[in-house]
Amino acid sequence: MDTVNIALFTFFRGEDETMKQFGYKNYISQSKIGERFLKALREGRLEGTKCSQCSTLYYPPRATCKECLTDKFIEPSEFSGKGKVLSFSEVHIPPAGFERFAPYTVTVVDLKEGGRVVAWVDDVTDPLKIGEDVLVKPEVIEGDRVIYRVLRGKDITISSEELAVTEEFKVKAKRLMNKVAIVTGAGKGIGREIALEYAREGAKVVVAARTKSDIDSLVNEIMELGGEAIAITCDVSNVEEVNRLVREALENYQRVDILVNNAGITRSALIAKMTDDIWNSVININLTGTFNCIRAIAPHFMKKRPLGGKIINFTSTAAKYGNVGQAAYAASKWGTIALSKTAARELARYKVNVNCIMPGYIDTAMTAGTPAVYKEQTIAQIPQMRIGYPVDVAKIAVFLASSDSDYMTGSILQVDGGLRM
Amino acid sequence: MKAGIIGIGHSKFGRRDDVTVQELAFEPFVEALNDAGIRRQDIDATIIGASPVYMTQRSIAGPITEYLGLNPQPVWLTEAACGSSAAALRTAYALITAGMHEIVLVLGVQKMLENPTSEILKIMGRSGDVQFEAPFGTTFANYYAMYANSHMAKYGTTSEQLASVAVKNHHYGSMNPLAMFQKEITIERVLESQIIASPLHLFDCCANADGSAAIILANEEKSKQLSDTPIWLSGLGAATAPFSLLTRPELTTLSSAVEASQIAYAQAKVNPSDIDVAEVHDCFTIAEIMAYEDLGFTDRGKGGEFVEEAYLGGKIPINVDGGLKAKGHPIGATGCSQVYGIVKQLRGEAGKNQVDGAEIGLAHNIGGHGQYCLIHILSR
Repeated sequence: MDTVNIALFTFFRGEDETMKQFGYKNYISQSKIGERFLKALREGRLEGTKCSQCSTLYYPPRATCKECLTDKFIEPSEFSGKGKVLSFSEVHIPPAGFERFAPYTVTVVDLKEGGRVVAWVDDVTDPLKIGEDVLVKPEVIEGDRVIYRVLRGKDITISSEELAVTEEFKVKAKRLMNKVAIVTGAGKGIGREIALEYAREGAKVVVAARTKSDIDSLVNEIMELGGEAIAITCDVSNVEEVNRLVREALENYQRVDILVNNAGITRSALIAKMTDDIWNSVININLTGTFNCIRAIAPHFMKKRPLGGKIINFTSTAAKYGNVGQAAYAASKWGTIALSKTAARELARYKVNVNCIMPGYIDTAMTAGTPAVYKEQTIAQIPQMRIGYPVDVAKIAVFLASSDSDYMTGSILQVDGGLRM
Repeated sequence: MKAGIIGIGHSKFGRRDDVTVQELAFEPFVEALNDAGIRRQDIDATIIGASPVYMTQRSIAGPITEYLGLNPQPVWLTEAACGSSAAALRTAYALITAGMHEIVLVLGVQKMLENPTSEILKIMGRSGDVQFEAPFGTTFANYYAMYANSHMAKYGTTSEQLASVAVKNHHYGSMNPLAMFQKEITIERVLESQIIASPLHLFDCCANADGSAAIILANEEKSKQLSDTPIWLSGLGAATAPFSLLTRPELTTLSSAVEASQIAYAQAKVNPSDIDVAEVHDCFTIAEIMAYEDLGFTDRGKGGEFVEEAYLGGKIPINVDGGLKAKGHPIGATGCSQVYGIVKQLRGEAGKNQVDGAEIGLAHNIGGHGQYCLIHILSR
C-alpha cells in the first residue's frame, strides 16, 4: 500500500454530522487544559499530559494527576500517534444518529507512549488485526470536537501534500458513499441521469430496464467514471422479474439502501377512444410496477432496521392538474402518490423514507415526441422559462437518497421550474 | 447479624405494553408479599433498583411506592446501570445488618421498550465516555464484541463456543414461562443470524426488555420467625473497574468481577467449587464465558470449553432459568431476577430446572460494560 492510498483512505464519512447527533458542546474547551489540548489537535498533534512528580503519562490528557491528586506537576507531553490495535469491532446495528455510517469499525488503540484512543477505521479492505501497527491522527471539527482516525499500512507517516489530498476528498465528500441503489427505468432519460449521479456520489448502482443494450451501455459509462454498477433487465409490471431483480441485487451486494421507482411509460388517447390495452399497460407499469418493487424490497428494508432505506417514487404534474389525452398516465401518477403516502406510514417505524418526485416538463425521450407548438406553449407557462433537464431531477433524487432528507417521508417534491406550483 | 430472603416475586419479562411502570412493579410486589406471608405495613423501607434514563417517569421510586401503598415508609432509588437492583439489595443488606430496619423490600423494575432500539443503543452508548468513546457510535454490543475479539485472539475462543452459550440458555429459557424467549435455538441459527457488532451475532446478544422482580429481605430474627426456609445472604462482594476502555487494563476479563467475587467468597467462606448453582450476567455470550473465568469456575482462557459444564448435571449449572439471553434484560430488574432464580433453586422450587440438593448459589450482576460488579452468595 503506498502512502497516497493511505491518505485517500483517511477520507472520513460525514464527521460533522456525527457529533451533532450527541449535541456535545464545548466538551473539550470546558476542561482546564482544554484550550491547549485543542490547539494541538488543530495542528494535528496528539498532546497529552504528564505528571512530572510521578511520571505518569495521560492520553487523553488529564488536568489533574490521578496518582498525586494535584494539578501542580501536570505538564504537556507529546504523543507520536503510533500505536497498536488493542481490539476492534465492526458495528452493524448502530445507535440513533449513526445509521448513515453503518457499518463502521471502532477500534481501541494502545499508544506507544502509553494512553489510548478510541478511533474509527475507514479502511478495512484488509481485515484489521489485534496488535497491528497503526497511526492515529486527530482532527478537530466544529471548533471544539475531536475525531480520531486510524491510518494503516507499512509506511504510516503522512506528508502535508497527502493531507491536502485528504482535504480535497473531504470537501468533495460523497453523499451516497458505499450505498447500494436500485434504479428502475434506468436505460434512458431521468433514470439514466439518476444512476449516473448516484454513481458519482459513491453509490453502487443496480440499473434495471427492459432494454438490455441501454443498461449495458450505462454500466460501461459508470465504470468509466470509476463507479460501480450492474445491469439487470426487468419489466416492473412482471412480479417474477421484480423479485429476481431484488434477489440478484442482494446476491451481488448483500444489501440495498435505495430504491428508485423511476420506470414509467405514457400512452395517450382521449378517454372516449382509450383502449383497455392502453389503460392497462400504463397502469401496470407506472402504478402496479411501483407497487411490485416496493413490495419486493420492503422485507429487506424492514429487516435492516434501524438502517432502513430510501424509496423514491415518481409522480407527475399531470397527476396534479390532469392532462388531455393522459387519463391513464395521470391516474397512475396520482395513484403513486397515494401508494407512497401509505408506504411512508407503514414503513416509517423501520426507518424507511418514502417520498415522491413530481417532475414537470423535462427534456427526455418521453417528451421528445411532443409537437413543437405544444412544447413552446408549455415552456411559455414555466416561470423559470426553460424546459427541465434530467439532471435537475437527478439532483433531487440524490437529496432524497441521502441522509440530508432523513426527516422527510410521504412528501412530494415538485421539480418543474414553477410550472404547476 | 444475618439477613435472610423471606419473599420473592417475578413478573413476566418481555414487551410489556400492557402495563404502566407502576403496574409492572405491582406484580412481583404482591407475589413477594404473599410469598413472605406479611402485610405491606410490615415493610420498613423500600429500595428501588432501576436505571432512570430509560423511563419517561422521572424519580421513579416515589410514584411506585405510592402505587404500592407503601407511604409513609422511606424509599429511594439505587442506580448502577444494569447492576441497579443488585446494588439495591446490597443497600438493603446494609440497612438490616446495621439494625436500622427489620424488613426491607428490594424492587427491580425497568420499562425499556418505551424507547425504540436505536434510542436504547444511544442511551447505553453514553455509559461509555461521552467525550472520547460515544462520539464514535459505540454500543454495548460493540464493547463486548471488542472483548470477544480480544478473547478470541488471546485464547482461541471460537464463534461456535459463543453460540453454544446462547443455545444452552435458550434451552433453559424454553422451560421458563416468565422468560421473554421460550424457544430452543441451534448453533447454526446463531451463526446464521445477523451480525450486530462483529463477531457478535443477533443471538449472541440479550434483548432489551420490560420486567420487574422483588426480594423481601429481613433480619435474622424476623427471617426465622416468618419463614421456614429463609435463604441467607452469606457473601456480598462489590467492586468497580475503569468505566472507559481508554483506561481498562485488560479486555479479556472484567476485573471488577474478579475483585467482587473474591470478597464474596471470603465473606461466605466458600470456594468457587463449592457453588452449586449460579446466575451470571450473560448480556452477551462472551460475557458468560468471561464470567466463568472471572468467578474462578474454570481457568483463565478456558471459558469457551466450560459451557458443557454449565448444564444441569455439569460441574456448575449456570443460568438454568435462561439467563439474560432468554429471559430478556430489563436492566433495573435483572439483579433481582437473578437472585429470584437462585432462591428458587435453594428452596428446591425450580421444577424441571432444579439442581439436585443445591445448597449454595451465586448471582453475578454487572453494571455498564464492566465498571460495576455486584456478587451475592446465597445459602440455605
